[in-house]
Amino acid sequence: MIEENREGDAFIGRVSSALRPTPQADEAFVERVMATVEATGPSQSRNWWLRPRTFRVSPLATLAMAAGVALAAVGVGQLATRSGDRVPAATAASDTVYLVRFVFNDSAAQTVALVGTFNDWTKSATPMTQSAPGLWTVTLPLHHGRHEYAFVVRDARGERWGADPAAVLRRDEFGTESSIVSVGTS
Amino acid sequence: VTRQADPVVLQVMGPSDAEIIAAVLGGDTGMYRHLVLRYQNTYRRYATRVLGSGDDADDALQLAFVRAFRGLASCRTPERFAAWLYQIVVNECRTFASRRTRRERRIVADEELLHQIAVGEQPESGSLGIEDVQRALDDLPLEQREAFVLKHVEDLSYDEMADLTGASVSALKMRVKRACDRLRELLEEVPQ
Repeated sequence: MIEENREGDAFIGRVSSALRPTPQADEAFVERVMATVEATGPSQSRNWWLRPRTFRVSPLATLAMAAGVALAAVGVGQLATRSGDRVPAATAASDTVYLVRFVFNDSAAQTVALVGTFNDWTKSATPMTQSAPGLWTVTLPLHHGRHEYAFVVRDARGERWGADPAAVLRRDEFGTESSIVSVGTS
Repeated sequence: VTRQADPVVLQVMGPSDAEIIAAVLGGDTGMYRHLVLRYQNTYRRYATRVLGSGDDADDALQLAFVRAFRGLASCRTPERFAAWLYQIVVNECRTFASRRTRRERRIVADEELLHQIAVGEQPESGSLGIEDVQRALDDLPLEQREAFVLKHVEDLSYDEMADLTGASVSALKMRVKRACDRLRELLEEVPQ
């Protein structure tokens, strides 16, 4: 049982009094927040499934998937070769990989691409597909470990890069934000 | 000891929080400015006392407002935006404090302290100086510091603190008691 009466004594009252004066924001505070907010773009409806979803894949399944990609490459020619480029881990993996589904929700977006450490932050490497109005998805095979990523969104206002607020954020020394997905580490 | 009255918002002018949030979610990002203006100082004292630095508090609050903007659609009761923002501020301060090593902690240098120094103000007889108190507060573990500030500076009930922090009432009472005991040890040695 905690002795609450001791908490309310005169000494604590003096400590509280010293700490009560309320500091005020400087005049530029609002502008600093709004500059970041406006660079971020419109606030969007985001749900739990916006987090990267991970599905573990056995080495055997990886080989089967790699074979599927290879067959597609043979059948569709140039387009399939580009498809193979998008999923290099699938064809090269010899150990367990994890299928990670990335989902982004933006009804105003014209194109969305996924960039990250897994594709050297190349905008053209991993375009996302609009599977429903405003719902952009892509599934990637990733190896065990920590991967950084961001979304590149093009809409009527131009192109912008943004981190996924539903995931762990990383901010580099320049203040640029990206997101973190840890695969196979939980 | 004269206790300074906390600022109290008697009337909220302009659109309600819920109306502003609806406008922002509808694409009018600029409306978010109203929320920043309305709440920019509401949790500043909490952040300053927990982080022990006006500059760090400013950074944490800025991050909290940006995080709130990004997650605005998940604010399920927009009319309770203030309480929702408070949770984000508490979490942001925790993240900020845990990232910072003890070596990097700075003693508070907020406007009140600078003002006291500039005009030669001394604490009233029998009262404690903010510099000594903040230094002692900085010496507490984060959980105790957070609980003490919420209870004895922000005047929250234990139930409100539990809602805000996710800790149980009994755990919070223990943290506050330990904080009080430690502050006594640290501050009763300070010459008055």
